[in-house]
Amino acid sequence: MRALRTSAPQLGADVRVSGETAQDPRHAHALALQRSVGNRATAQLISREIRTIQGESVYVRSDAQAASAERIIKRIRRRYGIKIRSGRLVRSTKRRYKDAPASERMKVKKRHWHLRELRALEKACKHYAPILGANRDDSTRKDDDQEVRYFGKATHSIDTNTASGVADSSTLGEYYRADETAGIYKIAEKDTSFGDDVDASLHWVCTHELSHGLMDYAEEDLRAAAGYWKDSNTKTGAGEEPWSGYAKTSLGEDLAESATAYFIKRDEFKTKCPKRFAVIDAAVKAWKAPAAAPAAKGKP
Amino acid sequence: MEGARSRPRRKGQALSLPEAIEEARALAGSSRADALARLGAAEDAVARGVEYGPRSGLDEVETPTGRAVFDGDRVAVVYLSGHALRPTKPDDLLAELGDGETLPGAASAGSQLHVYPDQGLALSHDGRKLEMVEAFPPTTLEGYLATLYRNPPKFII
Repeated sequence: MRALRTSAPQLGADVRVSGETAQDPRHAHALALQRSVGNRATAQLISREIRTIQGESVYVRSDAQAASAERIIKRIRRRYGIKIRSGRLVRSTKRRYKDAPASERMKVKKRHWHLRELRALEKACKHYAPILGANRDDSTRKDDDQEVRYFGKATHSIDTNTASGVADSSTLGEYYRADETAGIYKIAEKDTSFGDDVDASLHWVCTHELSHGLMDYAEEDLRAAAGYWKDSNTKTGAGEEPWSGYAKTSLGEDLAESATAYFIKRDEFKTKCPKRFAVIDAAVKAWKAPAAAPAAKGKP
Repeated sequence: MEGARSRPRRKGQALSLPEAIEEARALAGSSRADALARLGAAEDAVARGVEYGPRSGLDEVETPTGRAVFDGDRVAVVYLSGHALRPTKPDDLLAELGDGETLPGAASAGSQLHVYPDQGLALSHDGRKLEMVEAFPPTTLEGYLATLYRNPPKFII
């Protein structure tokens, strides 16, 4: 059933509509709903709306969900130094694909968030907590700027930066190195290509996008250890097989998939890709600078 | 790329490029035998039947910064990895070379390829990350596209 938007009448918990004389068609719609599915169901239906929360559009079903979304957005900014900015994702997408026709670039617009997407992003950020936000200053990555500072959601990416580029419906997420921005696209809302269900796939995609930026420094180590790539997208024809079919797209995708598998499918990844596991494991364990290690404190 | 602007370069004007790139250009202009001699490599170090971009059936030898690819008795391309060229930045090279002919690169979704066919050079970068440099015998853009250009794969995440 189509969700009612912010303009729906504010009817309160029992959604009583005053009499049969309401002229506003929205009231008539609510009344019809009340008759067909009952008070509680109607209350749920008309409380679904897109609200502006911390400057982002978020689809919520209740005040409690709105409050939850706000808390998540604030935590991601405060703990991980990543601002939720869909406008930046739209600008980055249009800039990267600047040679695509204007008619296609105009199709790229901000897209409202769903709570599950924000939850997935927060879970993804947690994997990288030691090198995000204020924690980064206490890590071995402190001398390099944080590679992801913005995360957004938009309707589409574009398939290629040429005059034949079109707004596509297959790109789930993308990282924009030059803009320190990553994000997901509308198609990720229902996609399960990278997980058993939508939530798992969202978690995977968000972690993957963060990995493009935050783990890029380990790319050459992974290439050398795995022996699968001669260069960014030429295979040796030997070496350790990558984690997934998609990881065979390029060395950069291999790295992002490896880092994501390390965090989300750790045991399977260690078994299937021991060389890659060793590279990511060493990188992650090296994040904690010796001076910041608790064991080092108070020792002579 | 932000900050890098095309600067018209007069024909014949000398380029000021990192030593490793100049060495690669010199290799690219030499014969297979001369290239192997410069690299101190023997024929038995050459791998045969390799692919590069759209072509197969080539030979190659590893170099300290990447590899040199041979097409029979001539050098087809010398590949330098961005990692081996550190700390060279794309902006530094683009300031020297200008934008050249720009195409989508194959290394990443954000990869941008700059080709300078008459200089026998190409480079790709993703933002501030230099991905690779190629040195090859001077050619035309059509020649580069036909013999060296790698079609970008489809990136979905």
